[in-house]
Amino acid sequence: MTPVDGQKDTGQANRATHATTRHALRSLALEALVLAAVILLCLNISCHISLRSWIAVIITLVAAAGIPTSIYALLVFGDFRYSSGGSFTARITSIAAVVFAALWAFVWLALLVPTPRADHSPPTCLSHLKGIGLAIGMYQIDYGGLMPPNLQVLINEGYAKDPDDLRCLFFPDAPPVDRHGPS
Amino acid sequence: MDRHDVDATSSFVYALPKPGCALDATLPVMWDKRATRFHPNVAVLFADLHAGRVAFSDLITLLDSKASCYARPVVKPVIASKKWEWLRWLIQG
Repeated sequence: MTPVDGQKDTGQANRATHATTRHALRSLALEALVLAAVILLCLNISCHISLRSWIAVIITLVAAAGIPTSIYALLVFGDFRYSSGGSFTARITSIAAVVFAALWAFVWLALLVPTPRADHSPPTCLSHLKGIGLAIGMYQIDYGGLMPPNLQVLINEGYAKDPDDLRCLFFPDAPPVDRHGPS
Repeated sequence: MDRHDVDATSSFVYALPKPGCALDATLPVMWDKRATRFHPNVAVLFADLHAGRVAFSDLITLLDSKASCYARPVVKPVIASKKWEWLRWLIQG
């Protein structure tokens, strides 16, 4: 192999690496775009997705969105890489990639998203309130139907077993309540 | 640990009703201090000790209409900061 051949090989390898990098970056950008679209759509239609489901969707997008786009690129170019440059065909391929990725994302969302709840406040806040309601009920039994003057009484006198019941998990930085009376 | 050392730090507002006021299912006594902008429902404990969720605007209206039933002016719920809004939205499911 002559030095010129070696330089050619190196040049081809570099071009291949750059093409692969471009492909990877473009795939990631497309997936990010699709994910952003899905999030915006979910905000509009008020669907609720747990953190677990979001992670599953993101992993699935990252892992699988490249497959249909690569197949499309193979059919169009006879190669797994995208066409470089801004040709019409390349733009069509990019649009197809977005469409495929979006379809893929929505299939997964349809599988993973639970039925939208009519009521969206966190379950822990409500269950904690129910627990406090029971504590107030016990206080009322002992004090002739009177309401406790403040929440601290429930803690001090042992009606509220767990002080954490007075917190809503989702707003842990809530300021303290008035210890000497109602708010 | 002595229970008296525990500070009743709360995410909820507690409002003590006046003695003469009827403790019925329409009088809120505890509620979330905050609601989210996306889904502004607030968990509420009523005076008959049943708990439920009420729309943010409905609770504000209810508190205004029942203002005379409380011993002191109540703290109304507020819309949460963006940070907690997103966290709450992501975690709940």
